[in-house]
Amino acid sequence: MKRKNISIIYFFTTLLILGLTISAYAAAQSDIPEVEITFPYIGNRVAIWLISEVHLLFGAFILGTPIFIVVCEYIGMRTKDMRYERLAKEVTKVTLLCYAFTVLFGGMFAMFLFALYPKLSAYLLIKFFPIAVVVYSILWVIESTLMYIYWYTWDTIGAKRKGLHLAIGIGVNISGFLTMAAINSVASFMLTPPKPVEGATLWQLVNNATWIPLILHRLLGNICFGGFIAAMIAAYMSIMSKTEEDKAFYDWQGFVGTLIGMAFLLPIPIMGYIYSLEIYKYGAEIGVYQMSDRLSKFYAINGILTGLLFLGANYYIWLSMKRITGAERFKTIIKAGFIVVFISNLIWVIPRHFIATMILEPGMGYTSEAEMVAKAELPNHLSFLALMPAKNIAVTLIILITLLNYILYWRALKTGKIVWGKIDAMADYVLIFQAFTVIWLMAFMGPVRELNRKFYHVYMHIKDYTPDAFSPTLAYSSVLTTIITWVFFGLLSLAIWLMLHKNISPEKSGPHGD
Amino acid sequence: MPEGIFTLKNIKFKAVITFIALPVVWIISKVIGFPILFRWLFAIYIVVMFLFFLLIDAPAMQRRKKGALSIFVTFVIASVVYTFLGIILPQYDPKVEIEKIKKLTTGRIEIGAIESPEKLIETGKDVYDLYECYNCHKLKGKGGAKTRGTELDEAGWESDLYIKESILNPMAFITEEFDKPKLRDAMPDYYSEEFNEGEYKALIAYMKSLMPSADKMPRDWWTNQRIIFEGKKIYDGIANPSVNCAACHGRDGKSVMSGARELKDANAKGSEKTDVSRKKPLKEWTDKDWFDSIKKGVPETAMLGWGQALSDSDIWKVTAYCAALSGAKGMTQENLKAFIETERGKSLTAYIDKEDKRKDNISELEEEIAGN
Repeated sequence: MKRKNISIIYFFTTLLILGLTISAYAAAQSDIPEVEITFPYIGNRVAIWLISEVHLLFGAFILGTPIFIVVCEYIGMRTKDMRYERLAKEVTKVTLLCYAFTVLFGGMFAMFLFALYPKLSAYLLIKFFPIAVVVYSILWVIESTLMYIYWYTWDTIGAKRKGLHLAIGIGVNISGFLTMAAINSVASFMLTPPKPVEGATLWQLVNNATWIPLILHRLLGNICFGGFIAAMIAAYMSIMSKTEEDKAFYDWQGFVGTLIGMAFLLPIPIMGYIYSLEIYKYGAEIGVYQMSDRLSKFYAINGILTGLLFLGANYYIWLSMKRITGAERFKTIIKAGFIVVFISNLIWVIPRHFIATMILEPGMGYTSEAEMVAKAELPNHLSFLALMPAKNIAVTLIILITLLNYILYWRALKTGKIVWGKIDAMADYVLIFQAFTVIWLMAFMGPVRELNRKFYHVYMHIKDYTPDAFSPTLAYSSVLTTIITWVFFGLLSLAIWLMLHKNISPEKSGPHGD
Repeated sequence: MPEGIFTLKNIKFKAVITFIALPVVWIISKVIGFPILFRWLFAIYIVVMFLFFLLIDAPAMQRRKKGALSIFVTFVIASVVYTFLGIILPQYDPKVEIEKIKKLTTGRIEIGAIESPEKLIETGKDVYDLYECYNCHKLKGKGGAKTRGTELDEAGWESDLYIKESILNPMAFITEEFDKPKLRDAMPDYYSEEFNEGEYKALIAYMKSLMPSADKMPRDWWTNQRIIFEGKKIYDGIANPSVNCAACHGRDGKSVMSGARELKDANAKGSEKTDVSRKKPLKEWTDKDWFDSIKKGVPETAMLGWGQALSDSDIWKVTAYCAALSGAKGMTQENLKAFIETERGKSLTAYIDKEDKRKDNISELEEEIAGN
């Protein structure tokens, strides 16, 4: 994409956000008559849901990838392995276009919020004005500016003064992290506002019960997300590649991307657990609503899909081992590990009962409580399987098996010879499937945090009197999530094709490949 | 899909293992006690494992010529699988929650609209369901978990004041069972602002109606320190001036009146004049023996029936204290004396003293809650 076009998009969108913000603030002070708008066909909530999730997915990508881009550039500098440099540059190209998508959808998100929920938007912006408007906007400008400087000076400053170039990259990451932390304060405030809200200082509003856990969860999630997307980029390029050199490079990139994704996937269940603990501590009734009542089956899907991610990663290691000479000796132990992963995931997923709420409700297909208990509820002597200790053991086992497989992989590398570019073609589709899974999972679990608030915009403080103030069914949420994933995937695939299709044979690309 | 995945070579051994595993797992899980839906879950996992092992042992897949199409197909397969998962898992009807929200936001219960005590109790049950108390509390076998909230089947034994304070000001006193870092704050403390008068009065009426048979000591009361302390106040004649068990049975259970049953020693037998069941040592008494002795008295002895002066709930409380005097039910005088000296013991004593003074002046409680 041309520099000028990116800059224009970025400039006007930033102006738009600032302009709308100031208008909302002014509107809250004036006597402008209230007009309620309902978004046609899908309603206000779904409109916000779709746009905000696509924005969040792009946001996660542009926050997560610069971290490992800078690390890869550093490793490339130290080891003189130009593959790291190439990986960093190509992923940066895609990230740049995704910055524009993030801003565009962010602008849409802001516009839709102000139009469809004007009072709530004004309330939040006024409450968090210094952080959510001033600091956030400034950080966003700094981050984007640094990102463009980082990219456009890669072959100038980056060639002569790598340290300075890396410092710019670190600046991108720090400002990105602070941007995320700033806006996380608003999101976490809506779920766990300080008690009481009135009279709370700005710091108390920001530093609420789930601010830090959300930051940690999102930080690791973003890097994990970025890793899997980088692996997906490699898979796309590998499928499109025509030369052995490109296939070898993208095979390697797929491995590195998956390694990053898995390295940061391992602690995510722990971060999620800490996040849930803080929610329980703040209000046990929220924790119960999410884990035992209406949102319990959302977490069942979370368990299944996270298990699939681990299984996919271990399967990818299996495929990777096949191209290392002498690695056959580890086949049996890896297969045994797969069995443990399946059994552990089964334990992780076992529910207390097969109804979607805490107690039986009308329309669930049972004529009586006794029938439900007989067919669908764990008896007392087996109820321990539905409790956290059993789940924690299951997750720990899955993590350990994955670690073990990586250790076996490194051992195989030490004693054998790897032939990059000769991996089973199935591996590319595994990487795409992994990326799809992590995107779908992130898009699916984001709304869960919002639905936790039940019929409140700000929990126990501002009620939501709109007709949408209820938790939609799992089926409905799944369909919406698939739509969101397709939108994101479509735009991301477009970004990859636009920015990288000329890069398949590196000798054809110019300094920036544009 | 790689070619060669469904070859006989790849399938045969795995199919045999799967066909053996399926019925074996089904039968074993049935014997252990897993209900049918869980057995189906296990069966699905075995089949998926079978397919997965076919995949990992399949020969290497050849590169596809139509790359974009194959990527698209991968998306479609993943979309279908995940959307299908979301559809096939158990669902709820959102109308149930929508109705609740409507009642909570616009259709609040007003006390004036409730015509009778029975209607009040019925309304209280609705309030219980509306505010989803079942999420933490188990009642009639439904809802909750032991580790999150008290079981409420016998809530009716507690005083109105205690129930009201537990709902509206739960931090006033936390039972020992829940006095742990993870559980201490579990009970929401905002109901004093959320409930209107109609709702909490209806809820208290419903809680008070939960009083099963009087033949059994309410759950955990034999060793509940608060109950035993309240029983002590009755026993010592402090709570109710017309009742003073200590006058005959002694402050420490060593009787001071001739003919009064020794309560200090759980092994001591009763007088020959008493009936068979109460001749036996206190540690062998049934709950009914204790209750009837205090409520109806003991024939052929000076022990009067105190059923007119004490409520059934108070009778159970003083029973718990009497059992503690003798050590018949786990709690002993020594344990109690040691407990009183602890931090928790002191706060419990202060709490009970405050409740006692406030018993006839509920408005003071309401002022305190409003102040909090």
